[in-house]
Amino acid sequence: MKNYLMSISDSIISKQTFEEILQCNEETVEYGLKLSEENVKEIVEIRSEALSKNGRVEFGGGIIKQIISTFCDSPYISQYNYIETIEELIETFYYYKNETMEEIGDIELINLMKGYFDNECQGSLELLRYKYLDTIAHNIKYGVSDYLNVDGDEEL
Amino acid sequence: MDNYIIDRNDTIENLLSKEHYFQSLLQVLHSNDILNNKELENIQVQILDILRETANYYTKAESYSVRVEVAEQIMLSIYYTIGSFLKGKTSIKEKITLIKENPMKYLFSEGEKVLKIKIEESKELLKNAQKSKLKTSNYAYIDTIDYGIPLFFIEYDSRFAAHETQGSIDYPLAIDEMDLVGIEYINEYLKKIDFENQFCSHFDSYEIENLLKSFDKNSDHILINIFELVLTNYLGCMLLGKGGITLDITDIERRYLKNKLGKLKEEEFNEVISRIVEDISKEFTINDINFINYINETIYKIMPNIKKNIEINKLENTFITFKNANENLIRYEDGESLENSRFKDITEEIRDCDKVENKIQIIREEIHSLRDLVDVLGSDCIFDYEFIEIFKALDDFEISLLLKNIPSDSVMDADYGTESEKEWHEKIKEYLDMINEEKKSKIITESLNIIL
Repeated sequence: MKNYLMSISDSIISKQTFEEILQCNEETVEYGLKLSEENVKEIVEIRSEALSKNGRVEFGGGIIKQIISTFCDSPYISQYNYIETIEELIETFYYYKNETMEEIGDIELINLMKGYFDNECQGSLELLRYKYLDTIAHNIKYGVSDYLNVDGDEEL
Repeated sequence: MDNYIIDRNDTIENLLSKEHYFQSLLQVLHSNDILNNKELENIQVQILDILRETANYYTKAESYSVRVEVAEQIMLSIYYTIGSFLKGKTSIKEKITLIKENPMKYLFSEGEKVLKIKIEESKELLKNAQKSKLKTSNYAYIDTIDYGIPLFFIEYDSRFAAHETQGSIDYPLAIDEMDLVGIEYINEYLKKIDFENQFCSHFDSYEIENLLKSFDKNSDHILINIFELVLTNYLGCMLLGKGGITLDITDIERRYLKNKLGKLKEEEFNEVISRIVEDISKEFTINDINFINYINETIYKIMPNIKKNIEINKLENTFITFKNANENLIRYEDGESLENSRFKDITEEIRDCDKVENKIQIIREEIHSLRDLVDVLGSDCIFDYEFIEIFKALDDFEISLLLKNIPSDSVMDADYGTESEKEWHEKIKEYLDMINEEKKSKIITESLNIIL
């Protein structure tokens, strides 16, 4: 059933949300960012792989849209690194969705990622993953109540 | 809909899985060209819509995605819910019409109603089973009715995991429908427990307990079906023409049964047994057809064993002779248990005592039931050597009563108590090893003869 669920949710996303993702261009063009149909296919493919790799199923493609519209105004994203960054953010998102044990809702996690990416990480995805998100995931796993405190003064 | 299979209800029903009813129904209808590819795909898409909506409730709308295992569980739950609704329809034709002419959302919400009714009905059945519970010391029986099934209702999640059978159901029924799951299994289980209790209620609990002990001296701690043993011996008694509600079959009577049944041909044997089943139904005025069928099914399950044991001359394995028939069994009526709050105060008082003599004094003055005494011993308020001192202060009969509450030697590995319960179980054995053999043997024999 695992494969069945994954393939079905994939087939639905490609039909239902392909257009919606393309429509994001209307919002992102203001920041000089644009996706071609080919780019959307590639991103959808990356999303499917990330979901499969992390053992998750998604109904609809809401996350791609959400990531694009949250990150499009970042000063660290321009057309030359746009697709690559979005793809990495999608993979990062699903990985940490599991690692944070689903304690953080989708929108909250994406907003957190955006906040660190633009400020503390200055556009570095490595820093975002290995310093900030890893620490939050660690805090959640070890029952730290203030799990967003990434400065190390743990409060159990 | 002019497919020949539509008119063959039984043929189709036999092909269907009881656990994955709706999935197997779709498969059968598709492979018999009653549902075409397009219709099947349409059904699957609609079910995915329900899955999406239900997953949204599951994540409280905070997440677009869920783990595959969660989606899989919700999906099975949706199929199960729809299946529960369709199972209630009598003809296959009606089921097909419902599937073809209604949105899946409708079948799903009807299924939810069916499950809700089943849950309420089952809760009533449980209350009934608890009321009509047999007076027996069989641990699995008591634990399943008092703890295992109530736990099911606490844990059961009809929205996201309707197909799962939570709880702790260890007691084996005479005929167990292991291919049912979720509330359907519990509902069926409780109906059968009710039949079994009703049947056994015609016999004195002393008689039943004697039968169980004669079957196996560890009968309190093994997984046996009480009803099946009672029915088997009663069947023997009926064959012997013994009236009343006795269950004992003596050695001579068993030899007579062997001769009588051994001479019969297959058909004659079956006929004699069927007649006895009719007599049993009349004797106990059983009119419920489901109840009669259940007795019949159990008899059919027992029959091959009777035949086999006649052939290999081991009929004593089927028709039990009471081992304690000539001994003095002691029926123990427990004293009144303390209120929970009072019990808690007493255990705290005991825990605070420095001297074991004071602990003994409190137990002597405040504890007046075996149940409370057992609970005190397992409440982390008595430690180490103190157990032995307390056992020394109790009389032999009290020790015998306590022995009834611990797993016997041969099944000691399966002690299902907490750590502190296991501790006093060990200590009482230590105490028995300390006293002289004669006294020890007297206590153990007395314990075997006690019926709680």
